[in-house]
Amino acid sequence: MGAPHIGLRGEEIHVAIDDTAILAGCSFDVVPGEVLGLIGPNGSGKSTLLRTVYRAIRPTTGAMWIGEDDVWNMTARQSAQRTAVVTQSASTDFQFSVAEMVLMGRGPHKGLLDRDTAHDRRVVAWALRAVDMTTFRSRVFATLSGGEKQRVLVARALAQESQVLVLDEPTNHLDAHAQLDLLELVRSLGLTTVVALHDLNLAATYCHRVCLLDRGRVVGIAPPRTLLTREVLRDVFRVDGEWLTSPTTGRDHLALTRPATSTTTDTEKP
Amino acid sequence: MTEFDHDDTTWPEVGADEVSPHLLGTWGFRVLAAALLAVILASIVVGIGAGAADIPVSTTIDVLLYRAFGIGSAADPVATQIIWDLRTPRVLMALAVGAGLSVAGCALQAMVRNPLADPYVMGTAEGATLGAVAVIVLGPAALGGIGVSMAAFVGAMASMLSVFALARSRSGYAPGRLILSGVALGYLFSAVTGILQFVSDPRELRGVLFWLLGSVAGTQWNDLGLPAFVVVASTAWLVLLSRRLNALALGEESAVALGVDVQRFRIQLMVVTSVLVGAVVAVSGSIGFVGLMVPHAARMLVGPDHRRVLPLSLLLGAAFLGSVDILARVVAAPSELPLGIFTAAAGAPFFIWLLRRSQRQVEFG
Repeated sequence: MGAPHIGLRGEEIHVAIDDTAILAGCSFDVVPGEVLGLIGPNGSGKSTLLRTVYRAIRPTTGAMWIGEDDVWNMTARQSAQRTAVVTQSASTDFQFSVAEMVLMGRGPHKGLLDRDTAHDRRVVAWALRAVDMTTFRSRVFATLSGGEKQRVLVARALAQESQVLVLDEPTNHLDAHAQLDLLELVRSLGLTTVVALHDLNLAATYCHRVCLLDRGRVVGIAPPRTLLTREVLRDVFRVDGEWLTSPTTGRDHLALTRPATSTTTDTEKP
Repeated sequence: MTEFDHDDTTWPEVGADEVSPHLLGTWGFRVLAAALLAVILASIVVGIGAGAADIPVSTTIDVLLYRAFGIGSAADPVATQIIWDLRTPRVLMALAVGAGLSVAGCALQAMVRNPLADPYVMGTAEGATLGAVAVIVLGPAALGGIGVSMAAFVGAMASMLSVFALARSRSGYAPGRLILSGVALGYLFSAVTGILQFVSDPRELRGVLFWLLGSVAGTQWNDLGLPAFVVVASTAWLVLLSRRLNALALGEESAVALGVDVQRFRIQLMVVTSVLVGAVVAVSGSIGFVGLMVPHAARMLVGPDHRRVLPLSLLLGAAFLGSVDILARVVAAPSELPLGIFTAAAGAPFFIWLLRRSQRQVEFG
């Protein structure tokens, strides 16, 4: 991937769909080389904010910067040269092989008349090695397990040789091992990364900092342990939480419980 | 590990081909393409020979060489007229129609991300048929003086836009909804076409009916130019954009992630596919299932990469319909059967097999 020294910055991002505000002025920044976790309850706007990064949704107002460039002043192709996306597990009826899937990552660098070059095929080999999927290269993508598919999509993102990596809930539908495995891989890449995550413990373990969204607003951006206090967990997620340190690994984990005072009428948010 | 060293040429090359799960690799594809070209050439010669007046193959070749390339000498004028003026255009038209329907099927299947799509399943061809029948029955004056081909294009485009408008939801276009909208609108258009037939002049009705079942009989050289040009030009355009088609086949989000301006690309695809379907349906009527079967067969042979699937569909479609057209003239000679009967007889079982197979994949996948 090009210079890993380029950061990402969102400025006062507003998104309204059919006059309903989904995002109400979100500002955040990702330091070069940092993994930023995007967390928040369902409907808080995580996916929408990510989609404004990779041009799937145009913000009503606000700007998204990659380094010095405004994402929304680029063409779709220029944007894809700078930002690679791992979407929620892609399913397809079309029987693309793993190698073909990863080769598609070269697409944003190709003109209409360009053929695949030896260089492209070497980048594919490198990307497959980076995610440890070399031996899967001749398999049909659709037949892989969820975790294997996600690794291939990360390889495709690497083959794009972009500066920013975006992942939208990449651990959905993965078993416990595959979840840890994938985030370990993402963290080890050392790229400027934004990842939306549901699981607070995964976010706490693998993100340098987390950005907490609630009803379309940024509640705060800080290291997980600093941001996810008892009060924040109760206000935003409506759970009681407590940080525990593992006696074996020394790592911090969040233990979550449903508040005793919670009644069924509380489950509807105002 | 996260930065590719562009000067490092020691990395092995991993292409789509080096290790491929598909039946045919690059060389297999080339050999198959060459073989199909040979089949197409053979079907031209045999197709010209077949019919009410029996013509020996050697005469056919002599006339073709003389009229097309100026090689050899003129044969007897009656044979020349039958071969060059009556049969050659229709044989070439069968090839163009088969190729056009197959390429349109390819584009539609990628566009709606569903291997069950084709111009007929999606209602595009029914829209084109309605447009064309309206002009035939009501006369060009009733529709602002447009011709049959233009009306077919307008019908195809209107159908395509309606299908996408109906299938639209907040989360984009679900492939299943697109197919269902296409099927529903296809029936609606067929119903209106039926009403038009009912009110039409009995003298026009016979022509409309024969045309509805699909036929390239009576093709003149003049009819051939437009569809042939449209088929070649739109296939070339689609091949150039096949990386984008591949990305779109994976879904809208993936396509955006890979730098495709999806909304613009989809509109371009709608226009090109409508022009293609309109041009083909206007000259041939209803020939179902070709656009469904051929792209599918092509993908089973070379995998889903459109850089191979599109050219192969063009060749397979031409070879298939060229052969069907011969069959249609030979089976009940001296009378001729509509092509749609044969493609439906082969296509319907194929469709059912495909449906069962995709269900199994969902259940056990």
